[in-house]
Amino acid sequence: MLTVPRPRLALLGALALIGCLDPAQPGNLVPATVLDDPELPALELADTRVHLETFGDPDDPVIVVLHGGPGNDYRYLLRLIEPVEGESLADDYFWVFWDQRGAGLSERHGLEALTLDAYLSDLEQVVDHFAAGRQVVLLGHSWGGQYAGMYMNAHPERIAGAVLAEPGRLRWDIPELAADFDFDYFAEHLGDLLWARQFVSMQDHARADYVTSLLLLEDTNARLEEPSPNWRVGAAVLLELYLEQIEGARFDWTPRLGEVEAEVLFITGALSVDLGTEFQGQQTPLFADARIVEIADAGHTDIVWARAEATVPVVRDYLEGLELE
Amino acid sequence: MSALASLVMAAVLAGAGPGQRPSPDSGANVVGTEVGVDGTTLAWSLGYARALFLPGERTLLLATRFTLPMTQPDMGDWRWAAGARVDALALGRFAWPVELDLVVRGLSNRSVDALGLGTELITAPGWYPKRWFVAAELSWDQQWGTHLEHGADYRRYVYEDVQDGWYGPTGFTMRYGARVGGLPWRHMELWVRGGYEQHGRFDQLAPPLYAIAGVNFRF
Repeated sequence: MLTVPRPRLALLGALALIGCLDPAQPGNLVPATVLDDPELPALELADTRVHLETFGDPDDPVIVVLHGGPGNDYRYLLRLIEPVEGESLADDYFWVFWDQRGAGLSERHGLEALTLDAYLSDLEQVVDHFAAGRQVVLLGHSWGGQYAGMYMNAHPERIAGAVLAEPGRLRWDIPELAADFDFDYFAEHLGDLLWARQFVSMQDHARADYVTSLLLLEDTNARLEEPSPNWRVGAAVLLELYLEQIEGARFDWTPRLGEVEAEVLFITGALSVDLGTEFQGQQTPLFADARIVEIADAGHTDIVWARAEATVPVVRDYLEGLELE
Repeated sequence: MSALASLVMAAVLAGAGPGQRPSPDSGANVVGTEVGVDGTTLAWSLGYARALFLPGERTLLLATRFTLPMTQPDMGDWRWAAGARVDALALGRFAWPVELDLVVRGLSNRSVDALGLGTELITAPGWYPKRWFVAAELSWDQQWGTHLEHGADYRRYVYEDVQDGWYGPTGFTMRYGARVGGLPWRHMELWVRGGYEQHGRFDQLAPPLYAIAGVNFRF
């Protein structure tokens, strides 16, 4: 049962009297999560509840989609199942789209619950729920590709195939060719974001997610042909998982990647500087069988959003070449 | 200049930064500027203050200050503060000045236009000999009301149903630091201040620090 402390209750009452909106109220600055809105499609995992939708026939081969960030959501990946030349990939495959722990419209947690171990456990549960006793195809973009690598390293025998769209490093010491996230402290987008903290403090999830969402349309995404949509950024995930546990840690998700028997498809954008073809050329040798397909005139997120119509046929060709159950 | 004229001037101009306690020797008018890590990676302020010397050797300082972020500056992001400073306690060279400011700020980018109304309470207990000072600095900047109006792109690409309008208390900044400075010349004052600042429990985007240097001219 939701309990509201008396001082907060008094404050909310005072705000209502003078007609002010409550910044922490879901629905005002950010959309509600699956905890606040029971009508959202969701799946209950061991210690969290995630926003999740499926498309297609459950008896078809299962593809689990992993969005980027960490902290983004799957909204920008839905073009992968939109019809291209009259056909949708959901006609032949069963797609599982979900917002990862603490991200998108999934349940929010304190920083202590946002660990790589918890993330691995969540994905294991999702795979077991939809592909019990079967192999699965993982499709991950950016951080989602790293997440797929983490799972493949733990369970190479469960992998029927994998599409990695410009994944980040699968091992901490793989050299980056350029900074992935522009942390130039004098960049305008960061200056705007820091200035915004005077208006809206990152004191609770709603306000922290809102402030971080203001970055989505800033110049950091200027290389994109068209901004990719998101429902709600998980600020705590971005700060804890990305900045603390990935960027600041020595992780290695590669020792068992060579045991993946299926071919692995890397997709890159020709305009990507940081995680493009040259960078991914360092990661394909980690697998027994992997190849890269480059999408022309595409940046990092374009390959799954603005240029999805070029990427979908590549994914279809790849899936049709796999032995799927 | 009358007290009323000083008050009007303080309100329409932009206050001098925090410095030595005013005295008739160095002048009742203070024009100052600051630059540093102040709410963003680089901000610049221009200010004016007027000291009113009251009976009983008490002083009321009316001050106003206008601040612009300087990372590719535009006039959409700004802060204006105006208020008054008094010595809550003065025992010899030890003083405990307290300043209360009204703060109005603006924010404008592709996602949102914001106008904020708030207050800032600043206190700087410390040692204030005649030509220099060293003091602790504690401040509480509270945003009491914020008007948010989101752009079409934000609604299209992020959250279609985001609510525009006036929000209640949305933000705060707590600062715990120190300030030190002096008057190397009779009418010119230099100082630095800095320390730890806090915007919220999930605020890890940048080091939680502020660091500002400034100069005042007294006449």
